[in-house]
Amino acid sequence: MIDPLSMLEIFRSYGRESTYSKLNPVTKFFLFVVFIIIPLISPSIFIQIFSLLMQIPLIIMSHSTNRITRSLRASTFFIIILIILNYLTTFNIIFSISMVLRLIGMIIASAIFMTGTDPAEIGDLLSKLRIPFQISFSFVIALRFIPVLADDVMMIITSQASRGYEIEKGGFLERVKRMIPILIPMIIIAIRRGHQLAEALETKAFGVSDKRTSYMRYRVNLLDLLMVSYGLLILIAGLLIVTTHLEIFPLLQL
Amino acid sequence: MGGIIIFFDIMKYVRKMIEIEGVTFTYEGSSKPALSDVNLRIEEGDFLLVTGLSGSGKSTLLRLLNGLIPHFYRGKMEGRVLVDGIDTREASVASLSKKVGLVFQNPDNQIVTLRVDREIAFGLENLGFPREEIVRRIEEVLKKLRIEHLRYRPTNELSGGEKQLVAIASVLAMRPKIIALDEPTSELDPFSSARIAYILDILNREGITVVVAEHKLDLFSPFANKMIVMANGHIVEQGSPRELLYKKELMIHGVRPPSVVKLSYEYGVSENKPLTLGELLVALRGR
Amino acid sequence: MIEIEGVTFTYEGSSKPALSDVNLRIEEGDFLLVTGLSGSGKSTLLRLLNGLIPHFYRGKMEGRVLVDGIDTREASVASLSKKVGLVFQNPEHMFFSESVYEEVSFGPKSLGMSKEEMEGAVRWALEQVGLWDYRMRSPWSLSGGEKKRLSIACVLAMKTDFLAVDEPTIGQDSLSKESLLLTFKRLREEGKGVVVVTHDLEWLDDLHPDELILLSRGKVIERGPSDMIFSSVRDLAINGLIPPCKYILSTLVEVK
Repeated sequence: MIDPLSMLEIFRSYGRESTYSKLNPVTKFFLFVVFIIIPLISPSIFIQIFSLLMQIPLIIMSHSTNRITRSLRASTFFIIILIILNYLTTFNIIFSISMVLRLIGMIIASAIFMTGTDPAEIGDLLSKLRIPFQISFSFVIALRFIPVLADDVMMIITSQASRGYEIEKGGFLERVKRMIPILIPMIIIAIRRGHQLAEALETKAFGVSDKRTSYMRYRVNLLDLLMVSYGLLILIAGLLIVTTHLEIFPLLQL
Repeated sequence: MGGIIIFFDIMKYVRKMIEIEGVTFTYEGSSKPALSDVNLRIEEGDFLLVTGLSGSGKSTLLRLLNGLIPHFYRGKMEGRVLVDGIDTREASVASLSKKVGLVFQNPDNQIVTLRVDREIAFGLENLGFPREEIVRRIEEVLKKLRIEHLRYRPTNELSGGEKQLVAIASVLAMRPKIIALDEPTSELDPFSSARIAYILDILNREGITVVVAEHKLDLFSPFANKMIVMANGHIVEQGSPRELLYKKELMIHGVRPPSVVKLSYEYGVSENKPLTLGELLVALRGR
Repeated sequence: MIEIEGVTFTYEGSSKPALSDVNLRIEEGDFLLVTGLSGSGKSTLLRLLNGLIPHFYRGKMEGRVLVDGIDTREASVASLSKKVGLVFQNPEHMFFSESVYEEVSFGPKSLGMSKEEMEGAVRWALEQVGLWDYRMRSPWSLSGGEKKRLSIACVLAMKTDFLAVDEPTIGQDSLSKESLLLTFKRLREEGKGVVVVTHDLEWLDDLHPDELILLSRGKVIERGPSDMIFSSVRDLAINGLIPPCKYILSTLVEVK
């Protein structure tokens, strides 16, 4: 079943306010990057467990347990395949588990970041990272219009279904052909929306001045400093574990 | 004596906000002109109601006001449009946006950000306003439109009526002298439509010139002091709503009078020309 | 006959039900009007009629809907659309053909009508809405009002027993509203079961409906002859609806 509503899932993810969501977006992004890097610096199971444990405070701060369990449940199939494939290729169960833990750690890091970050903040973050406004704005526009277009798609599909049309009939080629009554209205409506959007942007003086100001201001609070230090500490600790401790646990070194 | 007359002459000149002089416009790729030989004067403080069937040229007329025609839409234009004395051909849409704010029919296609306060800030950011000023103006327009409670709401979650109010707010934040709206209530329910009409009346009383293209004459005619009827790109009738809505010729152009007008004919009080139920009631009592 | 029995429906991701405990019976030949503000559940009610809910919209549904005795949960939307035709608010969501004629024949073709039967149905439908002369034109070249009527013809051609139309007058000018009025009056004479959802009470009053349903926050709060409902001006006003002028006037005169 074609389901444009599921496309919306990612945007619904930004939930309620939490201690984490109030952090500066740069801090949140930094923490996210730290917890993506840590699992990658070494395949050792020890570092994977370390990375998972160190994310616990963030999970608590962001109230993201629901989202995490949902993300993990959604990727169960993938995780099982990964274990089996790894085991079949290496015949090393610890390595396979370690790979899975690495994946889980990264899923958790993304889930925390997505639950605790307003999509608009991601746009601001992009411009903070010195990405040109035109590009970060395209990102925001995409986020703004994906739900609108998803709505259009749903209306088109239900309109045609109400005319007795069965989209999911026949083999692969047949199905592709059957998409035409859905695709044509969709394209025409998207073009029309794009045109009206351009008109609206023109009246709002979009792109006229190089000296664009920014209304949003993000403060750097004490908690931000603490969290950044926490991230740095973990990064250093992770590197230390990789370079020193792995020799103490030779069995776990892979 | 002479001095006073000159003074009034100057006043008249100052009060003229928009002058459309003999404008004919044909969109690129079209053979028929969308507007032909349109002459119109809008004065400061006016509430102008533009009506006529779909495709009669209402939207094109509004696009003239802030320079979208001829800057954004390509085509052949004759005549000229003066906004505050400035020829729109010589000014950019961005500079005109500080004088004329344009609100479109579909609020979904003109909201470009993800949160209400950011939406209102957007145009000001583009024009390079300092942050403190932007914050001040956000608070000002939210209060003016009585939507303070929407300030931090995601734009995707607003109802149609709320979206349209936010679109109006984002235009008002640029403090235009004129606000022009293209069928702002066409996709709204009666409650939200009435809310828009009511807000426009308040803005007009505060001194903003309002131009609104609409089919809902019941709702807007009591607030308007001027009205034009368009057909096939021409302005075919011009006058006060009270005068026009009681003209039989209106039917020829496909415009149907609002129900109060129909009722006042039914009850035989059409010579009083009531436009609202209140006026109709007074007329009935005086009979 | 369509029977809606105790239906409560909550869309996925929503905390409040869009419809709660709705009971309704629509018979062939009925001319039923449904009104209420945006968000009152009008569109959700329509989606129940041909099984779009629960087949396309995810959520929690209680109660059941029977179309000619068949539970909509057990039949596909394609098979239900032989009995109930649904016309949506925005006609542009359905157009994809090169000509008006082809566009209208899409529905009958999907239902597997024979060629002769289809030709007759398309002609009849286009004549009903006064667009037969436009059959060779592109759907996109039509005016807003004509597009609206074309979308009605597209569903009419499917020769369903029931026709349900969502907000036909939205965004339409006075001339187009008049032709829509004509179309609906004609359909009523044909004896088709028609359900019209609208918040344009002034227009609706000109249709002289026999029965009106007032929805508010997902509940049927009033149901009866339109005269009766329109006369309870206060109830309508509380629900944010403006009754036709003449009813307000008569209420005001009574009060005086």
